[in-house]
Amino acid sequence: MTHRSVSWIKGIILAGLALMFAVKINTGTLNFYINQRFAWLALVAVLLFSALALTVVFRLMDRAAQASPLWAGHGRISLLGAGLLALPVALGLLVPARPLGASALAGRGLGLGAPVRAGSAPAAQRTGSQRNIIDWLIEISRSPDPAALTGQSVDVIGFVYHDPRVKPNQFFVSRFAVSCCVADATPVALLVEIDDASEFKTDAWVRVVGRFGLGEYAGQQMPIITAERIEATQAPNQPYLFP
Amino acid sequence: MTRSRLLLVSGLILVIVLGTVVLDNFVPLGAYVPALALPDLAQNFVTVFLGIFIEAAPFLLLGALASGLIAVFISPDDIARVMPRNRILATLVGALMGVVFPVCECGVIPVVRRLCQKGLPLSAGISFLLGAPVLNPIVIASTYAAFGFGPVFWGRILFTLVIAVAVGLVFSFQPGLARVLRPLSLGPVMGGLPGDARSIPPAVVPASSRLANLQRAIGVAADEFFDVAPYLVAGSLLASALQTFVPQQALLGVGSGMVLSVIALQALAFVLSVCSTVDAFLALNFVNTFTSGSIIAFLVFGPMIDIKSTLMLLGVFKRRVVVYLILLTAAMAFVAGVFVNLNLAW
Repeated sequence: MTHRSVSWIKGIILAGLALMFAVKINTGTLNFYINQRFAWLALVAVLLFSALALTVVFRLMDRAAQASPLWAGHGRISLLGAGLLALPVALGLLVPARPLGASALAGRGLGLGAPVRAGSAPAAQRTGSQRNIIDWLIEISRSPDPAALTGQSVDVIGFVYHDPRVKPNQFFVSRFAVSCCVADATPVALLVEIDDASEFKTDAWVRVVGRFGLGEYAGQQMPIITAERIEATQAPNQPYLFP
Repeated sequence: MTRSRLLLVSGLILVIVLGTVVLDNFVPLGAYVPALALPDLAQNFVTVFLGIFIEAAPFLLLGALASGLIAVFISPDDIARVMPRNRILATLVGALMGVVFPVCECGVIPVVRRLCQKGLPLSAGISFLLGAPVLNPIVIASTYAAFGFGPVFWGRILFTLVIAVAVGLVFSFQPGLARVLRPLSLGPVMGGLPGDARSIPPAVVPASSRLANLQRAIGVAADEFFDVAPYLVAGSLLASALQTFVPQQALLGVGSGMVLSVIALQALAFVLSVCSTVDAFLALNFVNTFTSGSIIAFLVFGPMIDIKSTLMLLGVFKRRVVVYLILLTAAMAFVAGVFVNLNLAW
């Protein structure tokens, strides 16, 4: 390959990467991939990729630079390398963005403990029905006597997961906790009890309103929400919880 | 700037800005490519792959940029002036350089390669490579946030330092860079490809304005990115495939064994390829089910070696060297974990 075509390929791939990151930011689907704490890094990536793309293409115009010895190093890129780098661009732009759901849960094992951040963050910034699933799990693990929480009102959002081991009138309302990117996604879940549990389809997003209590699951004591009302809801813009 | 350049610049910027707006507001791609509604597992695979790539790419970019700046603005003399002549001292300094260059395991690789080309002793380069992803302010802070000033915090720092320096010293007996780095990674001074002139010291480059130098540094960063990024993609593919298609429960069932738990968490660290800046929060999930030694091994070994970094290392170092690096660090982290389990009961 000539130096010119290599530079064009590099420039196009870099611009494509900038575009892919920009689309993810612009559509709000960045939250499907990384913890929102790192969103600014994606913005840095858009700027840097654009700067690199411009610089690479600039060199094509610059006859003086092409004559200098520094130009010689730019004539390399393997087809395999270019193809690999085109992959995140293609997948990011063509495959519709979708967060992890119940199908990812099966392989990971249900997290019924709390992904606690000991030493930092106070236990529950939110109280009562403000709590999300993680807040409840933290509250249960910190409380010397979880039975004392019985009767408190619960109002959480999550997706439906039917575990083979639960009773027919139960399902799990679940979220993924993501501390960095989806590679470390840990499922968290609360057991929900309602008569027509099977009406709620796996992966459907629901808002569960009810009362906190203690029951049994797979031979272990387990918090259970006795549901008063379950309504279908839109998937939230932040499908994951960021502990 | 000539007119054609200006046109090109504005054209590219327009494409990027308008492209994003058009894509999501007027032409929802999803509606036009229904064929790409993938089955669940494939969709999860894509999500995890993009997650790892989107998280790691900015760090790799920053590392490439640092490498470009070093290539243009730092001379071998500068490094010779700063590094101690004593071999052991130099290796120790290398392991602690992360305090000045806070890089994680993605960003460190281009920086190490560049510094070695500029005359950094190999032993210091290796100890920097292994130590910097943990021994830097960001990771130390996140480890403190997760574990406080406890045994895990101190264990992670101490064992990382010991292993980084020890492995660095092992490599200090290598006679030359040519036996360690792949030919493509060597500058012309060291007998690399004659065509690769990227490591020309600044003195050879005609004196020019600061802006031109900056532009040159960014150009080097772009080339650097293309040398290492394909390996990042390959590593992310492999890591997300293993995550999606191999259930983790098998690994997690051995939490309380003195020896098995250490092996299990080291294997998990290798497979997950989580960035070192946040792996402490991930490790918290194992506190109740796994031994302390295994958690320390997870936090020490993961940042040094994982699937994604292994592939990136293969792009820079010779295969034999990468195998040594993996075996040495894995064995030492294993010994550290088991030692903690057997001797210190917390």
